[in-house]
This record gives sequence, structure tokens and C-alpha cells, in this order.
Amino acid sequence: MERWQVVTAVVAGYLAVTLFIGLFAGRRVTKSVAGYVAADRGFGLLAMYFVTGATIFSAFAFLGGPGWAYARGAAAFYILAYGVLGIIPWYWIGPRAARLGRRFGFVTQAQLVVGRFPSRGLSAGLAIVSVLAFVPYLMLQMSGAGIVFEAVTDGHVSFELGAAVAYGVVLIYVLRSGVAAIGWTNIFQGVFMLTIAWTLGIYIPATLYGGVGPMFEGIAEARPELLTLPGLTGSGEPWTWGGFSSAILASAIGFLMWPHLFMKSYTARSDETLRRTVVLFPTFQLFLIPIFLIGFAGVLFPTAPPTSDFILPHMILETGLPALVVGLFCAGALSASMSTGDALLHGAASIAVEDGIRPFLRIDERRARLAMQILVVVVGALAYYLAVVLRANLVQLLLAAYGVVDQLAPPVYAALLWRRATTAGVLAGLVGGTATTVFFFFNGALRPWDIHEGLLGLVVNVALLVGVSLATAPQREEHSGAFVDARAGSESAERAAPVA
Amino acid sequence: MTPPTGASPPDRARGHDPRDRTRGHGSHGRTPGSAARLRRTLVIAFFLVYAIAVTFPGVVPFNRIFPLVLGLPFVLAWYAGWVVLGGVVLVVYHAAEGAD
Repeated sequence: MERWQVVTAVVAGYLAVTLFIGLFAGRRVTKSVAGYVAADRGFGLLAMYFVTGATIFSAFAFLGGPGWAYARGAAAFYILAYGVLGIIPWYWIGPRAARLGRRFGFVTQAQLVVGRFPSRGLSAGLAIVSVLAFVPYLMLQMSGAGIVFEAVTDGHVSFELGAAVAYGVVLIYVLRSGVAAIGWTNIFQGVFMLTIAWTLGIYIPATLYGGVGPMFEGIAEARPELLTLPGLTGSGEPWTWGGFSSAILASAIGFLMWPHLFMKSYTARSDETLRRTVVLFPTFQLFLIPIFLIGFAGVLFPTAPPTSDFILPHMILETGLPALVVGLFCAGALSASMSTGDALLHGAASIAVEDGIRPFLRIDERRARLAMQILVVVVGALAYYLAVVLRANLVQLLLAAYGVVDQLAPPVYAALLWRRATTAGVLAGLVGGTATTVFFFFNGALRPWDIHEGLLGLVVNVALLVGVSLATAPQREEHSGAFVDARAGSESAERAAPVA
Repeated sequence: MTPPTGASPPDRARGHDPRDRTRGHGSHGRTPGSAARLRRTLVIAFFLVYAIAVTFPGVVPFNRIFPLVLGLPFVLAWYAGWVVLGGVVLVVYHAAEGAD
């Protein structure tokens, strides 16, 4: 058997197992919307741990992560810095959101915000922002899958075919089993990603340089600027401290606010499960260390890849590793891509129906579920068409989305923590914050101290939220109280209903 | 805006007794002890220190390559150390909450 055939066989085996797991995952959940979107709120710790980790670490982890370390050096450490800071608030707000979800039937982030701040415009706006952010994100995952497939099979499996096969599998399991499939496949994919990353991260420096220490001693001699902060920009200039530090803070604040992650609050079986997921998350976060080691291994590598994102596949192919290892690497990279892509695909369809359609059109559970499944196909086809057929580059849209997602933090925290917040305040903050973020995104040179546009948007957002809320009539106490007092065991949350 | 699906019937809202809120504060339906409140404040303070330690200017004194720690440049080990320490703090906090 030829080398590329062995690689393809390994990857086909991985895809078959994933498909099998995904198809059988949905057997025990109900055919309701809560079953499709929140797995009947029944995920245990194992599923929650891997869903959280595998959803967060996307194809970026295997391609972009090493690419950053390789080209921008220590600048990449910001990715390691923000994850734990970003997930901490979930320890407290996750159980609160989950409790309100059980009480009032919420399955998305926007339903929580709109439950507290009734406005159909707000609901539709949040749905549009989510879908606009998810499509380019999903496109990146698809092209990541296609690129890896094409590279490791020497082009025998084309970019188009690779992306189609990997995402065909995702489409089938998400269609059939909804988030239950995401839970079970992500356990498998998460274990795969972790194993492959740690193995390669230790193996590659050891084979090439005789260990991690000798590798860094070599880099310290040849390219010391790569090993101290704040590292370099994409074009090789020194990065600024303001840019580095504010990227950490903006990412930490926005971390939980990504709607496809936040809505996993509703899939957990219990509050305790959610808290344990947060407690265990740092162990998943550490997997960025081998990812960085792989990227740094490329610095002293004799040949350079066509683009920095290609450093890992480049080294793997150039060092003549056994075909089995190459196949496993490819499966690991596909795991990272697919375990994020499935949540995005499912999230986009669920959010479009729950927050974009149902507030305006009364449709029953069965039809809502059907509409979600139709949208899964539509969104998947659209992303494939844009990413693979047109090869459109929407990375700018995704980068802009990071700052915009930050703007969801004030409404979510206000909904759960601040009685005096009003719908008008939240709307004013969101519109002002988003406009500020988008303005500075496109006029980067105007940002003071190179501060991330998302943080600049937050300043405006919070000021407007507080100012306009205080200037408008407060909400009825039993309405706001149902959200603000929604701690575990809270009697008032049990009794009061959100009054629209 | 109509209430989201599954909202409880309005008569429950009318049956709301404001006195319940006093019992509603805190976890598990009782007023959190001052120990629990102190623990939470300490954990939040720890993560604020974490945020300062990994950004400018907190990280500047540790921004060096040598000595290598477990083979890693010192500043990379600094970041990894905070992830590990953050995990340990969470485990201890969670255990203390459970024991309470």
C-alpha cells in the first residue's frame, strides 16, 4: 500500500468511528426542541468537560496556534493567558443561567437576555450577530479540514473532497442527533486532540533537537526576540504591550459570551456538573503548551512552509514520519476542526430558529425542530459554498466578531446581577458598544495605546447601559428579582415569572 | 415580546411573597455564612491578581528567557504556572464549598 493510502485509511477509520458515535448518541434524547438543542439538560461531567474544551479549541489550535508561535513567538502566549480567566465567571453565572433555563425553558443565550429585557428587536439582533459571526468561523473550520486532508494525502484527496467528507459526517450526526451527537463525538474527538497534541509536542522537539530545553537554547541564540513579550505582529514588527495585554482582557471577557459556548450552560445535568467543568478546564487549557512547542520547533527547521499556518503539516511531511503517525495527526486536526464546527453549525441553526424566528412566528415544537434541521443543511451548504467553492476570505468578519461578542457581556451580566438595568439601557449599550467596536476595527490606527477595539466598545457599552437604565423607569421588582435572585435554591426565582 | 416557552403561569407570579426573598439569598436556600462570602471574595481577588500578573505591567519582571523551567523559557513557564495555580485554587475552593 502506498503511503497516502495508509494515511487515508487511518483518517477514514477515524471518520467512521465518529459517525458511528454521533448516530447512536441521539437514541435516548427526546424529539423535542430541548432534546435537540440542550440534550434534555442531561450532560454529565465527562461530556461537559470535552464539549467545553473541544468546542473552544478549533482547527485554529492545530494550524493557527503553531503558526502564531512560529511566526510571532511569545505573542502567542496571550492565547494561553486568557482561557482560565475567561471561564471563571461560568462557575457562578453558569448555574444561574441553567436554573433560569429549567424554570422558563430557555435553551439559548438570547432567550435569557430577552427574558429579562423583553424586546423582539433585541432577540432578532442577537440572532443576526450570532449567525454573522458563526458562518466565517465555520468556514475556517471547513477549509482547515480540506487543507489538512489535501496536504497529508499529497493531493490525492482534494481540498474540496476532504472538506466535503469531513463535514458530510458532521452534517449527518448533527441532523440526526443534535447536541447529543456533539456531546458524544466531542468526547472522542477531545481525547484524540489531546493525545495527538501532547505526543507531537514532545516527539517533534525531541527528534529534531534532542529535547525541549535544547530547542529553546537554540532559539534563544538565533532568534531571541521570539521568546520575550510582547512578541511580534503578523508582519514581523515588534507587537505593543497595549495590543498584547488588551487582547488578553478582551478575549477573557468575550470567552463565555460566544453564544454556542454559553448555550452549553443549558445542556448540563446539574449545577454541580457545570461547576466541576469549570474546575477541570485548566487541565484542557494546558494543551496549548505542546501546540506552542510544535510551532517553536519550526523556527530552526531548515525549510519554511508556504504560510506560517502550515508549519505543523510541513514538518510532519518533511521529517518523514511513519504514515500511521501522519494519519493520526490528520485525524487529530480533523477532530479539532469538526468538534468546533459541529457546535457552530448546530448553534447557528438553533439560534436562528429560537431567537430569529420563534419570537415572530408561532410554530410548534415539531416544526421548530424540523426548521433547525433544515437550517443545519442550509448553513452547512452556505459555509461550504463560500469557503470551498468561492474560497471567500471572511477572516476579517471573524476578527471583527471577537470585539462584537465582547459587547454581549454587559447585557448578560446585567440580566443576572443588576436589578436596575432596563431594556432601553441594554439596547442603547449594545448599539453604542457595537458601533464603537466596528468603528475602531476599521480604523485601527485611531485606537489609543493599540487597545483592542472590543474593550473600547465595552467602555461605551457600559456607560450607556448604566446611564440610560438609570434614566428610564425600573422594571417591576418581581420580574427583575426572578433573574437577579436566581441562585440555587432561591425561593423567589421559583415563584416569580418573567413578566413580558 | 411573549414570554419564552415554558414560562410559568402568571398565577405563580401573583402568589409571590416578598418575604421569600430573604430566604432566597445565597446558595442552597440559606444565607451564605461570612466564611463562604470571604472565600468567594478571596477567589475573585486571586483571579484579579492573575489578570495583572499575565498582562502589562505585571508580567514585565518575569519577561525573560533564562533560567529555563522544565525546558521552557521562563516567561512561558510563568504563564503555564498561572494556569496550573488557577486550577489548584479552583479545586480547593470547590472542595471547601462542598464541605460547607
